[in-house]
Amino acid sequence: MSVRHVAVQWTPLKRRTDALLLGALAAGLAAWASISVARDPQLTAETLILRGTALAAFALLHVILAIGPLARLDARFLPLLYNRRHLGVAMALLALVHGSFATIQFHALGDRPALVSMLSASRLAVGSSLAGAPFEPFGALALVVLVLMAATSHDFWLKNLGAFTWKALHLAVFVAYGAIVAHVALGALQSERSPLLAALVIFPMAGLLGLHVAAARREARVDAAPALASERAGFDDVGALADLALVEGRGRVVVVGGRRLALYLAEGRLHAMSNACRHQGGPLGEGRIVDGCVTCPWHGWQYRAQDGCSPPPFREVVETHRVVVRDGRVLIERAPLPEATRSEGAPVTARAGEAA
Amino acid sequence: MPEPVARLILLLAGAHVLCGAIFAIAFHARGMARLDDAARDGSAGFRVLVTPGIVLLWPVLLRRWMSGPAPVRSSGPRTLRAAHRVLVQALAMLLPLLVAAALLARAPESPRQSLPDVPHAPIR
Repeated sequence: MSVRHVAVQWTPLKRRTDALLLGALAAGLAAWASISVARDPQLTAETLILRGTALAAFALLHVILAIGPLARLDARFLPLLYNRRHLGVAMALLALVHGSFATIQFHALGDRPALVSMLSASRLAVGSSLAGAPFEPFGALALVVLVLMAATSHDFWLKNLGAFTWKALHLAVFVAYGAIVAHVALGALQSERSPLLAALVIFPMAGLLGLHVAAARREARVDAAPALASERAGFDDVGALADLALVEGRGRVVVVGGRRLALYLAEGRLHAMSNACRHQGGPLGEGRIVDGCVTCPWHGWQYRAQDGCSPPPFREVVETHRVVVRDGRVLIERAPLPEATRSEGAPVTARAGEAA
Repeated sequence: MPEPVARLILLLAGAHVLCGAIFAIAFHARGMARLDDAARDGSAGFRVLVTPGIVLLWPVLLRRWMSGPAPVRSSGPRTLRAAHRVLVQALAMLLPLLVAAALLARAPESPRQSLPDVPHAPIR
């Protein structure tokens, strides 16, 4: 949420996180370079730069991709989401250095333009091993995707592409990840015999994919949960007040009409709104009420529970739904109210499970 | 890939970037403020930061400039979760196969050669 776009909305937490990131990268690269040179004194600076940036980008990509499912599976990992975009931009820059250096080192000063040489390089002969397979195009594909994602990481893009388009674009990170694994499998793994390198590819990949599959299955179970039919036409029954165990100022995610909504108890009244924050689709139902507004747990964007509007001067709006309590059960209308319609909500007492 | 294909790809990419660079000038001058109030008084650093994206995504921004802000899709989050599920399950099946094939199909390690120790004749 910003009235005026600036390059980076610095906060003390972002500064500390970035300092930690740069320090860890510098220390890690220095340690790795020292060990590498000690083992093989003939290593050149060019080789160190190529391998160092590749290792750093590969490791950082795994950290970045692990944050999402970790935060979904365990809320204690949520703070890692706050500055993930800076990690992504840093990783893209490392990959850009690696790709540029490799293209210049191995494909410049030839009889063809460097980029043409890089994309068309193939020493693969029929019946031979995979050594010589064209691994460079996979790296180029991954680099294009990562640079595009880094170039669109600012809030300006979230706002003007729309949350859906922006998120869909950034799902391409999985295409980039597959391309990078192919790049390493057909490239470095063909020439480097060290079992350590194979292990550094296999185990992080297995761990990362396992995390994502586990998180995806958990989310699929929530989406597939059957809705309870309600006698009131157009409403879904999301459960008994007593069972929902609502707490004043805290949210809960419910499924209505196949969509997730955030159900909040605010000042003794129940309100329902879209669960997807307009910023990056964060789960509003997992947040809390701060300064009278529903606050997204990912990046702190806020919306009034009564009408779904952001507090002035901000203008983001989320859909709200009518809530009714009948015979101790909470009913939520499937169709949203017209945008920014003010609703007083369904009265209940502050103690969970009792209707007023 | 064949060299003519590589050249064509690079030609198209170059044309796209060139159009994007020209579009970026016009967008910074007129379009950005029209599309986004918060960008009207945006800092210089912000404008520099978003320029690469403007160059790369100029067709999308041109459409937004002409037709207005993006619509909100209420079914969006569920669709994206389904897409994520499909992508990770596909990767979970394909990548282990790829890595296993790459490791199994490696050429056998050839013995390292060493130069014979032959004394050189002095250069006259």
